[in-house]
Amino acid sequence: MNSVTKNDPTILGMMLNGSTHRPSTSNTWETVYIEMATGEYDHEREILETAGFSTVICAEDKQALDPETPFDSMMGYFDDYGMEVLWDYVDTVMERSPRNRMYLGWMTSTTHMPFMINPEWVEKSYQGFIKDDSEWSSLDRWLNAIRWTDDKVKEIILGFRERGLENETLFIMYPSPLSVQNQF
Amino acid sequence: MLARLSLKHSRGDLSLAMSLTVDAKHETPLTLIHRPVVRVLLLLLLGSLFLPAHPWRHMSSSLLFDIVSTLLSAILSKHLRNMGAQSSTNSHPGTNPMGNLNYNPADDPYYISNLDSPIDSFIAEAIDGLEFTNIVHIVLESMRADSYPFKENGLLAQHIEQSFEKPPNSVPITTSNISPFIASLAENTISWETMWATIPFTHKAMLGRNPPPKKIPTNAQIIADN
Repeated sequence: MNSVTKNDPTILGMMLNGSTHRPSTSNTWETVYIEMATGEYDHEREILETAGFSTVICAEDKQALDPETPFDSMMGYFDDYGMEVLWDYVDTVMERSPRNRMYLGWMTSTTHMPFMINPEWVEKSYQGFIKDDSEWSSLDRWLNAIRWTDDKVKEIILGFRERGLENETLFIMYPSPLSVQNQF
Repeated sequence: MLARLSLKHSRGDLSLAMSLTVDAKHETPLTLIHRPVVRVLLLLLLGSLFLPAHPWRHMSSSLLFDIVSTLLSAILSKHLRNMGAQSSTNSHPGTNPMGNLNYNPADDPYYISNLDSPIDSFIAEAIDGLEFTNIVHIVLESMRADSYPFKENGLLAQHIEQSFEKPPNSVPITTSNISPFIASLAENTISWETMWATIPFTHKAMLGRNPPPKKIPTNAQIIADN
């Protein structure tokens, strides 16, 4: 799944756009975008590949590896599976010698309807905030989806800290309504 | 009708005026009936009188209606195709022969590279002097300005306060209970107040945006004023 990009991809230019920062050890970027929503939806995979990501991993890729496991919903799989892929990728890049620079994209779709929260997390951490009798009990689930996401952001940042990468990593985070990348 | 046309056009086009005038001179109701087109129309009109009675027969259940609608559809389609072919050399994907009324990905900032533009000054200042090896780019699907970090006085919190019943043992809806980690990291987050949803009355859009200050009152303000 992992790949190496020989040249700076377009996406880096879009994000840095003229920045004077230069790689300290290598000019080779490894670029990956991971999400457990389907890449077919909204042509997500095509857009990301066009943007310059050399590797795009979506729900269809997981299904190709594990055809017996159906999607958890029409959105794809629980984001937790994507987190597993994310850490596999980070650890693989870390083990390479010499180590390349890493551009890691990650999208969480848990906060999108139908707010797919892993049942294990629900069992341990779900909290009842409001009485919502709607079919999806939607607002309460959404608030918990935000909590889930906060947990995962924490896991990512602390995971980089544990690997000694926190101080050499730029974290960029924004919601999908603001993902007009050339606003930067 | 023909006589009026001949007078009107006779000022600018003598030959047209003459021919029309000649037609007008010799046309009578009896000669009109001998025209093939008029005969067909009369036949269709007569036939429509014998159609089974129902309220809409004069609108749709006639051969004349079908012929006219089919011909019009074919003519319009052909005309639009021709217009599209003529404009295809200088149009972008997503345009249409009627103009650029629809969404056009060629004009969408998402797809337009800004590599040649100067870096945004705010971002430039934020990363000035930073040295980094890696970039982690996290996209929070459907996350809204009010919700991450969760704003206790935000629009979403107001909506919940006004619209939902809280169970007796419910957990308080606070920043520390909803999004404690990001709240501990980010003292200030950026909200683009000029971003608007394309469909403004969806649930998410109503909760997601911040109203322009001093222009649109919130529901709470409306209730308080009344």
